[in-house]
Amino acid sequence: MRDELNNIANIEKYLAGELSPEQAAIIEERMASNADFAENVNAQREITDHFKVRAFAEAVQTHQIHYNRIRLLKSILIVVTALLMIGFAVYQFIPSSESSLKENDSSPTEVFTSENKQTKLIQTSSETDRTDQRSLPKPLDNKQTTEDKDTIDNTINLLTMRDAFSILPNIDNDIADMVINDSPLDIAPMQRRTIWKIEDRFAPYYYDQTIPIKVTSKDAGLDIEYSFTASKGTKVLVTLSDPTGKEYEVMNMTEEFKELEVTDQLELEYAKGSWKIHIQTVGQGYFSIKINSNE
Amino acid sequence: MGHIGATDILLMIRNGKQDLAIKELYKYFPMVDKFVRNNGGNRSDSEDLFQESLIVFFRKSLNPEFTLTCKANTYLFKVAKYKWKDELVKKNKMDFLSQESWDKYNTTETYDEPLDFSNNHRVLERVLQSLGDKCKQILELYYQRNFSIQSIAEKLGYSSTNSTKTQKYKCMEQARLTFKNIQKNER
Repeated sequence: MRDELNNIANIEKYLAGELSPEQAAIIEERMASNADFAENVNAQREITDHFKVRAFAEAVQTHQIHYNRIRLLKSILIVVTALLMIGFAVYQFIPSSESSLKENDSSPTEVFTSENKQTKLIQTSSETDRTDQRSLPKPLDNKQTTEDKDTIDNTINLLTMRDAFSILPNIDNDIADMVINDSPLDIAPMQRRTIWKIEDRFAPYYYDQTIPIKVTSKDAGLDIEYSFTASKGTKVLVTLSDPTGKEYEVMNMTEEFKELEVTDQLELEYAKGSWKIHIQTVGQGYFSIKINSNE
Repeated sequence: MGHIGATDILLMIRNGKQDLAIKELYKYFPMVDKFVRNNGGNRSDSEDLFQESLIVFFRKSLNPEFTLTCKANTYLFKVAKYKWKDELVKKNKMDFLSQESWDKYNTTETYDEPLDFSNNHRVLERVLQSLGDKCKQILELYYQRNFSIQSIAEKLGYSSTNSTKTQKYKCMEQARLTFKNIQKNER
């Protein structure tokens, strides 16, 4: 290497502090006596420092981006935590206020229990199943039954089923497996058969669903059979509105759902007209409701 | 908030632990941010100002004789204050500066050196622009990115480390010459 390049190499070592004190002193003496050399050393220092500053500025900018991201994440975390807390509070509040409303409700809801109804056990496949078959009391005004007795038309129209679902606080995964079965073509006389069925899941949060059904049957031999399978602690309340607007509390498990599965069956006498099945749950489970014909 | 001492931060910078030093110094950003926002600036202004203040701090710390007689946050805040004042003067918005904010964090630290390195920075950037691509790349890789001579030789396709080293010195010579010329012309 030529002399000037050697000088540059020496100055570089001097600036990096890699020279011995004696060698450094030689450089400093030369700087003091030679203005041109001193100028070269300063220029070289400025250039190397400039690269260090550029590296530092890059690191600062990178850190600023990182700092802003962390700040944004913290803000998001605070908002999400607040929303979760609000959601949890609402979740806690709604079921408790709902059950207190039910407790204080003074509306003329007719409650059926196994003590005051005609109840007969029907065979079930599981030992833990509890199956009751009950009849609704005959309403005072039953003109329609006598009028419609001459023809048999066991069809039940499910009205605006999807509209009923859309008002619910649904998540896609929580609505599943809705099955509607049409009437079989061949009907044997006096054969009990399911002419309509719905199966669905309910989510762990508060679930409130009203299912409207229209019965156009002229036959009184219909019954509604429903089955709830849920985890322990789940609360279930099922009410039924008849075409006159009367409400029947057909299943009240608001205290606690103690069993794994509950199956009930109600005879629907004087069935013609618009009925509503109202299901309210808190907890996770599965239910099915069937309308059977006993023609 | 636990802050490490100013001397420790200077040592970190001088020992090449810039990232650690920056992380520590960023703990003081909210203070500067608040000052700027209270005196006619916004978040973007405070970010720019803080970055410039850090660079001033870094440049000064490169001088081995530089020592701090106050806390690092006090020093940084004072640099930021003066720089923001300059900015407001340039924009003719001095009435945005409140005396109360200005008096806060007053220290005995004096500024005998200019805080604005932008002119020097501009000259050095011109020097780099005047170099050929290869020279600029060698100097950047070596001084800015801390590549070894061996790595530079492999990356840029030089036959040996010696030839890479010689090339690097030639580039430095060229840069030095350009720097001196620009300075002479600007005087």
